[in-house]
Amino acid sequence: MQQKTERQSGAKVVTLEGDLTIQRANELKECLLEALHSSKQVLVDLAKATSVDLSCLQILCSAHRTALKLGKSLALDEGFSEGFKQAVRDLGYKRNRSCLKDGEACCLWVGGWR
Amino acid sequence: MMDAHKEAFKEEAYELLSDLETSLLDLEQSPDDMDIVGRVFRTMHTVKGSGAMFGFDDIAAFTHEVETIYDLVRNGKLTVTKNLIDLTLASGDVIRRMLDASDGGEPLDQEQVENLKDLLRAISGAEASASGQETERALPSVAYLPVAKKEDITYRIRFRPHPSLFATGTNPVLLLNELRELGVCAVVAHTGAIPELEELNPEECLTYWTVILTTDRGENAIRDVFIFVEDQCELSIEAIHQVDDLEMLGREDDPDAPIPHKKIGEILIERGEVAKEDLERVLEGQKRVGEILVEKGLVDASNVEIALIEQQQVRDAETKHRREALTSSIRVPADKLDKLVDLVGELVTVQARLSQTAASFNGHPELLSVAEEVERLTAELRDNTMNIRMLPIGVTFNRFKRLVRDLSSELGKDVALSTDGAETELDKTVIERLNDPLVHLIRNSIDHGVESPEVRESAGKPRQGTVGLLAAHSGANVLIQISDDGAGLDRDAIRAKGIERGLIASDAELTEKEIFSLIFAPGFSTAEKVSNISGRGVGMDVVKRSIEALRGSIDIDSQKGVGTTITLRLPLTLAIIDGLLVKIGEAFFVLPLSNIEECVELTREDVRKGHGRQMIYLRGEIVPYVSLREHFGVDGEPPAIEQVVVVMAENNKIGFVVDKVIGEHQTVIKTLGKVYRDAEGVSGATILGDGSVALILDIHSILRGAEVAEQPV
Repeated sequence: MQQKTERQSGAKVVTLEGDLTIQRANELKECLLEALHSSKQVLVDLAKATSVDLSCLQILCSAHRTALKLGKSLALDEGFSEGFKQAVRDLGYKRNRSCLKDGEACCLWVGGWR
Repeated sequence: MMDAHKEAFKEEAYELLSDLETSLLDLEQSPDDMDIVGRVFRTMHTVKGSGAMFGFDDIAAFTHEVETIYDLVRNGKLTVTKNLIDLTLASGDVIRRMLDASDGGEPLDQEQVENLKDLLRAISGAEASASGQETERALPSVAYLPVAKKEDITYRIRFRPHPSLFATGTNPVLLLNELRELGVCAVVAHTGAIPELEELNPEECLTYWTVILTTDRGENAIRDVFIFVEDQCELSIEAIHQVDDLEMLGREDDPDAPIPHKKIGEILIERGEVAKEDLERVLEGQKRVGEILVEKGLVDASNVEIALIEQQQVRDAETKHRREALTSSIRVPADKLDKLVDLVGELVTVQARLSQTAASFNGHPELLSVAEEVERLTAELRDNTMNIRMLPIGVTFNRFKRLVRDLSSELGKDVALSTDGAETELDKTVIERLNDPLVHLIRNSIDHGVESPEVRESAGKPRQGTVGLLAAHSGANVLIQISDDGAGLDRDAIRAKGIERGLIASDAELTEKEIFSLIFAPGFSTAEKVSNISGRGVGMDVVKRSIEALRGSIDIDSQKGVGTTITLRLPLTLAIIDGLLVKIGEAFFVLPLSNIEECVELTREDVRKGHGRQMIYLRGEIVPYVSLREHFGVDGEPPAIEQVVVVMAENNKIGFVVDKVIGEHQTVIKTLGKVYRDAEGVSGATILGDGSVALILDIHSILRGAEVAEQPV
């Protein structure tokens, strides 16, 4: 799990690679928590995520909520891996509209996920 | 509604029972065919399942016994024997009688039912004790599970796993994907319980799901998916919508009526996601309910999501069902069809008037073109409507398989039935009224025609006799042939009997056809012994009369020692005939064109030459005639030159004298009212283009009347 700060936009990019499953759940949580504390903008890059399970989606959802509460932003980079898209579809995370907690309507899960 | 369901069940059950009969007879031919065994089993299973569902407990309990046996057969633990087939056929009859009894028919002899049950149990029980508990497992574990009907039901499944789900190594994706395999499925995750990162235990399952699933597999199939996580989750499965044939039928009076759907708000209230008052308060605004509810913080977005999906899915299921119903078939009460035919008949009449009127307006081009268009449409409508009433005759054929089987074993004969042209279509009414005559003819073939196996063998024929049923189209008629390879008609015996009964003179020279037609005389039978089945001399004359009532004809061809073939010629439909329109005085009459041979003139000179006998010479042949003017007592003087319509009836030519022949007429038959129903010589009426009524003549009954009048008293 890599974190690096993108100079131009000032956003911190968190690149998540390989299996994002329950075995690495704690690691992922700490990683995102740290990113949120150290930057106002966090961009999560999931282009190289292979196997993704429910725990990962829960953490991302939770992180997004945390960001909103802190007045920061957390977004997913558009280039998702197939494995990630598959998990979003299979687990029913796909949304057509944002959920309640997301006042600014920037829910992570709104989209086609095809 | 329940009654309608019961009715539907009964109708289905009757159909299933006749399928069962067909399957059983097939099975008897090829006892090792596991496909047929499976078919029998499934039929019994369906009858049992839906019987129990609609409260026919006696049927369900009884059918269970039969089903048990066929389950054993299916699993190779029992073999099919003739005894088994006999028992199953008898069981089918009992179930049918149970259905009849529930309809207010004769109650069943309970003792008989119990006897049969015991016999069935003896078969399955013997097997059960032989193979021990193994059989137990072969029996269906849930006895009256209504899995029979392949009906799409939409379920709302709420799956809320305990947070510790991951600890057991369960991956919820697998469960969800298993659900997806059951049918059309939409999964929505609820994320509302996920806290912020600091409080998050990333190894807990905090998501829960609502799944909308449309499937025909039943609730148990869904429960099976969750069987291993049962104690680690909260699970609720609710059927929220059932696509229902009857519901669809109930709406038949307005097929375009929109399918009512639950509103989003209704769904949310039903699910307890939102209080009714809250919804009503919110509804005062004009935005979409879902959006408003989310905005006001009354309901979680994921719940709106799922409600939307639910709505959509139910709608899809309905649409799919509708489409399927359209492409397959619908059940319509027969009297509605009759009414339709009636209306179309009237339309045809009015259309004829329109065309006539349009033509009389001396070439008003617009009116003429409209009239032509109406004519074209009416003709198409008429043909289509007639087509709807057409049924393949195969249904009737199948019923005869059973008849042949039962009769031949009763008479100790070995007879196979072969059928051909089962797909030939005939008017529904014709098929219904054809049943009894055909039963008679087949009985005759088996009883009189086909010899016993020993006799056949000594005559050098195969032991097994064949009775053939053939149906084929021939112009506007349908031919039905009943043939056997039996002994054939005994010409001398018929002749002797005819002389004995005074039907013919002892020195009469008769053609073969004339001799054969003697068997249609009332009370004629050459059977020396009166058997249960035939020989009582009621039959052939009744058969003949029923066929004539259908405006058909009957022909016999027989060769001694080789067999007999009886050919029935029937009109395609009873609702419309091609007729010849004639006029007597001011009145119009219609003669069925199919019987007419030719028309000749009748001058006063011809009448005088007859010397009071009503005969004309037609190319050297003497043809008797009946003056319809006299017959119907029409007032006034006949014209100088009358017309004789020569018809063929009972193999004889006979003339009907009318004033004027008008021409061919497509006749829509209207039945006469109660008062006139028994009027001799008239079979119906039709309405002409100008609105006047023409009677349709029943040639056969006029002839009979004339013959009686001629007879010396």
